[in-house]
Amino acid sequence: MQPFRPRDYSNQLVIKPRLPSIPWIFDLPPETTIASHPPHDHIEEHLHDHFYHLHIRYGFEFPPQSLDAIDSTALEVVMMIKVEHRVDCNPVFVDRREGPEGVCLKLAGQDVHWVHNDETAAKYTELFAQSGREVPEGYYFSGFRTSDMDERNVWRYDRTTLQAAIGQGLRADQHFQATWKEPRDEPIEPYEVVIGLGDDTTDYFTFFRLPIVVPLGAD
Amino acid sequence: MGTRREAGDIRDVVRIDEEWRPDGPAKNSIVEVRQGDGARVARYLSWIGYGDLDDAEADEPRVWELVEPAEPYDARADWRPFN
Repeated sequence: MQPFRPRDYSNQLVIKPRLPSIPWIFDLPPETTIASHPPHDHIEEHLHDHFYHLHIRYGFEFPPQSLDAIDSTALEVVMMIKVEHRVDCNPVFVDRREGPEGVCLKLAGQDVHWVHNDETAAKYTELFAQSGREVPEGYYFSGFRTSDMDERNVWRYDRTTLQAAIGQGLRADQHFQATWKEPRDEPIEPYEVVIGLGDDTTDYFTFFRLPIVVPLGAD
Repeated sequence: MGTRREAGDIRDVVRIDEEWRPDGPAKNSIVEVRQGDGARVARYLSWIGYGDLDDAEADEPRVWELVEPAEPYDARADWRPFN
């Protein structure tokens, strides 16, 4: 019998899911990861405020890490949503402004942007399947990688940029809004969303579930 | 932002830069203006930017023409947002 050896993460980009830590951005209260909203006035950075939309939000943490094995990498995220829906990513928020607006994390001097990426969606669908889980019928993983400011091409952050941002640890909130692919004047019933996080260079990945109501004990 | 042309069916994709609600589209929304029989009909798309046009062009090569940078667009159309 082999002795248990904890996996060596020194060559990985480690990211941990957390509860969101910045309430009231986009009018979402604390301890809320999923919320359905009707159309409303525009809020800066909001993508689908003129439609019925489903807010999807989590917190995340990059713990302190060396990053020595990484020259550059693009961050990845996938969300398991209904096939009738599309989802789009906001920048990463690190604080709240006046009212329902957020303060965006700057990496290499610019907000974090995301672009839809089918390769990422396929990768995490396979990783999910390798763990014995299947994407239920009627759902799919929508995949994204970090992008240039035009949200058209994948953007990789170099080690120096990541080191400067992560330092002794970085905790932030990520928001998304899902809406009908074919616009409908119809509310979206809230549902649980499975999230996958990782990057396109290292092997590290993590899946977690955003519940409609966060249970006691969640952190 | 772009135009789709196929067998006489012409659809312009336009980003709205003024608030027209409740009688028209929201500021920052993207709409499709379909031309035919001398009339224009506009409806919402769920798109958010040129990345969606890139995807549409990849799915349907040769029928899309992207307008970059975007040009002013002024047209009267029948507004059927969820048609």
